[in-house]
Amino acid sequence: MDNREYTVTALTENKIGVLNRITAIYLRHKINMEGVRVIDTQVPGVSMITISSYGTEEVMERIVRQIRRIVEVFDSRYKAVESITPENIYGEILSGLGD
Amino acid sequence: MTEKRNITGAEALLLSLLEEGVTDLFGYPGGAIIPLYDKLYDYTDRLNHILTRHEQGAVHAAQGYARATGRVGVCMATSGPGATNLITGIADAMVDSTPLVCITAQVAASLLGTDAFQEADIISMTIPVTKWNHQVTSAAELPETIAKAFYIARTGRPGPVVIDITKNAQTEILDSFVYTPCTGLRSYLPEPEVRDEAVARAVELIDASRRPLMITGQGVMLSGGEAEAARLAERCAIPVATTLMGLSAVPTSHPLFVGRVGMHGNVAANEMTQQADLLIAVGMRFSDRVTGDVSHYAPNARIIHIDIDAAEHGKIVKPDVSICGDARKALSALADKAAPRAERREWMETAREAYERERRYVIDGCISPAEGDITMGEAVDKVASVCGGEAIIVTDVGQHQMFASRYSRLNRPRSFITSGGLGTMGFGLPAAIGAKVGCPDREVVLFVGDGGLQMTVQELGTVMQSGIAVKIAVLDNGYLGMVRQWQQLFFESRYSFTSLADPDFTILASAYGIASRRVSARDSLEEAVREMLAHDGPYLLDIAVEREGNVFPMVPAGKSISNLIFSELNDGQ
Ligand SMILES: Cc1ncc(C[n+]2csc(CCOP(=O)(O)OP(=O)(O)O)c2C)c(N)n1
Ligand SMILES: [Mg+2]
Repeated sequence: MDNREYTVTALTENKIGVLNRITAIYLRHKINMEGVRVIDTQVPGVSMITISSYGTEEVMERIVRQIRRIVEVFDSRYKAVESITPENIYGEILSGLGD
Repeated sequence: MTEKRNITGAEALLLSLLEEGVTDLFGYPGGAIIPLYDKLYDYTDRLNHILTRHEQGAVHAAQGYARATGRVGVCMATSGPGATNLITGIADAMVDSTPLVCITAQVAASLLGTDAFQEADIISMTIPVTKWNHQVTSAAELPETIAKAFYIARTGRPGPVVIDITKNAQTEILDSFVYTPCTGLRSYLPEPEVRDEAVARAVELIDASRRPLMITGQGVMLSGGEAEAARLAERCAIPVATTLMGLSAVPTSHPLFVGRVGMHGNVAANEMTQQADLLIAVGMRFSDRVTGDVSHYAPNARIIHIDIDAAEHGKIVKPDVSICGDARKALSALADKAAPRAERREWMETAREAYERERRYVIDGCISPAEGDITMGEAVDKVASVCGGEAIIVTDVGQHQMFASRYSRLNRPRSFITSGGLGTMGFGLPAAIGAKVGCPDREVVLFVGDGGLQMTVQELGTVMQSGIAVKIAVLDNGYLGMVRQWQQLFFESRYSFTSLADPDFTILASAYGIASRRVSARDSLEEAVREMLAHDGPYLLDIAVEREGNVFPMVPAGKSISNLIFSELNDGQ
């Protein structure tokens, strides 16, 4: 399977150590993180962590499942970065504008 | 809910343990944990603390205790080296899903991050090997944290939790102690609901299967699902194999039991995996020691995987049906709905034929040799026949472990305690101590190698001081036998650093006031085993075994489980 750029997100309690647990999972899979970002959500005390990295889909799937296992994590998902295009996200609006 | 006023954090911790139903714990004191031990001095009527000789002994004892009883094992250690000495056992408990609460002391909060005396960042160090960990820096956090720790350790897929408590948190005064057990956390769903559609699809596969095989892992026992596993097997006439960790989930005497899968497992269990048209894998994780080369694993089988840990589904093999949830509930649903079946004569005949072959080529020569030195298989078989399947068998890691797993008789669940996933030498003696503390009315027999015994041999001191009546059978070959076997088979018999000059273990036992005997003649073996088991108190039996015996059958690492070897010469084909 080929390496692609992926974005993994995790919805977590904003607690000390959660980010370390997530990054430890990347370390264990020997995957270098290209970008890490933590933002608040509309729910107080709940954050979203976003990590971008290169890897195979198989490994991303495993990483996300292991992230979900962290007690403070509500859920975690991954997406191939190339699938985040204006057309993919705003396709309907864009095609309307094109007419 | 209980309320108490003006107590120290240390006392709050002990009261919290009592609230969780803790009766026994294992530990070792030191500077940062003195306040806790000071309070413990007042609680010895309610808390039975066993002083081990090394923190590794404390954590393995807590593991043995948890595995034998099904309760959460508790151990404690001081900061710095005390805490780091726990790590091997914590890692072992993590891969083998053992519920533990490990309490470590830490320097005062004001000193954190200053390289203070005996400061070690145990939280960072244990992240990859704990289910959860947390540092407590004030007394007020203690009751809630302990409640969370026990809840997390025992629910879902069990695992170890580390609670690191700074010295000031132990001495601070808590205005009022109120204990509320933890019943849930919003981000943590330990037990996914067994989904009806998944059960329905599994039932279809079971009903359609002609050659099904159930493989029970430790998850069957962790969920208390032993009876449901047997009910499903009996109702649908499904043969049952177990993993190493799953041994004793089904009695080894059960007519449908076909043995253990994996590298040194039984011929029937491995061959039937390859021939089955359906695997029902319950509470197991398809370890590489079970599957061999995964690309050739169970080539003819649909797979139903039942496991409470979502991360296990699809990790190694892609199941046709995933049932994510409690194994007991899933098994019960399947046993209710699957169609009853008459005995599968031909399929069970496969098991009988494979057993006959294994008996002829391996077992007979191993457990009843006509001449030569005592073999490990023979020693295990003797203990098994004298105990009649009622003992808890504990092992260390190596050849003796594989022989113990192959030839033990196990009638009751939670009766085979071994280090499976991590393969930790030194696990055996302290784990046996823990098992005996947890189940004082059961016979606990340890099989340990001459190598592994010396990794935690200091725990003979614990046996002595606390009067723990474990029976220690040393299968003494003067080698790091399992490594020597690999050197012989795969490295041209170049025995690089695997030969041991051993002490006289009987003199060592005597130094600790433990009754002992060495046996090397076949004629005396049975009588020596009887003497060990009849002895009132701990006993060490040093059994001199064949020096270069090997464990067979064997699947060479990385090979398909179809490639069983039966001897040094024969490739089994
Ligand atoms: C802590 C640790 N170190 C090294 C090993 C590698 N290892 C696995 S089995 C074994 C030999 C064990 O020798 P012994 O305890 O005498 O048991 P035997 O195989 O001879 O029965 C070794 C060194 C291990 N499993 N654990
Ligand atoms: Mg040995």
